[in-house]
Amino acid sequence: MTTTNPNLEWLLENLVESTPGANHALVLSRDGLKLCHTRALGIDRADQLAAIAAGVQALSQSASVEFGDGTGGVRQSMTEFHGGVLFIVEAGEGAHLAVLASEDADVGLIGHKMDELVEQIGAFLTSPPRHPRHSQPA
Amino acid sequence: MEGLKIVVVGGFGVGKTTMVRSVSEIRPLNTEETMTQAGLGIDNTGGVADKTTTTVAFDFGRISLSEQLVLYLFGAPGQERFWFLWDRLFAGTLGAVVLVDTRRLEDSWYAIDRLEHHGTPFIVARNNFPGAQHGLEEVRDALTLSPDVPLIDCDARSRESAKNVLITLVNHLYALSSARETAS
Repeated sequence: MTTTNPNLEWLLENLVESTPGANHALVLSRDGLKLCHTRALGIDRADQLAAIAAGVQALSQSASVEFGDGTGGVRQSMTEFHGGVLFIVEAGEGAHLAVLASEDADVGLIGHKMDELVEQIGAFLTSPPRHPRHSQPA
Repeated sequence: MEGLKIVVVGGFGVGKTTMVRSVSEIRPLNTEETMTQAGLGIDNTGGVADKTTTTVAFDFGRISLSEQLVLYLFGAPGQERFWFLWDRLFAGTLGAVVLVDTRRLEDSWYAIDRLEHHGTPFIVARNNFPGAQHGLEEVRDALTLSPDVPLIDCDARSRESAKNVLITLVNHLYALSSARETAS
């Protein structure tokens, strides 16, 4: 499951190339493990980003549950730090898509391109549960 | 009123989230995610085969032990890939609970090393999973705990038991601070 899928990798490379300001893209499982990523990100940084992005999304969902409409839905998490911007959106079941961009990137465009990719191929950006759903504790 | 920041640490699947959840008087912050197939071979559920979710950021809860004393509980994530969060969680922490599962004691070493390195006072609570057969003195030996670190049994699912763990920690913190005052 952690082996990079060459077709997905190609789509991520394509996303980064066609989006001004975008530098790296990563698909991660909700429990914080990389599924596939653009080559320039590198394995070690992909592992780090997967864990960070899963944590950010989990906290964003908690913010949504407590202070949003209660469904826990998150459209996008965006962190502007000194030297870059991190975007995360939900992808297919059990997975998130993260993009690292330059500080001066067009945030609207990047968000749009990410949504577009998820819409097209979200069904392939998944990481299914290890256990059948019915065995989950209440 | 006095607020104390406490962290709950320990290996993957020892019951940290369960403990924060069972004692918190407010709705606990929950950052559990379903464990996915990406974690096969990485997140080892040996001994906790029915575990289906795991914490990916941290747990947060609050409990008032008296009108004067409020504990703010932060539960750390267990897996190595989330250890980068620990430094932030440890900032300003007055004491820690190390939760251990005797079937996987080696998972606790990292937590104990980190706390000793930070100089954070802690107690160790053995979460009584079914099948735990070792006496507490054996656990103390296996963890090479110094004799002045309190070591107790608990059931993280039980509010009373989890509360007792926190009271033991607070008493330990008071004992340490009065010892320091006497010494100075």
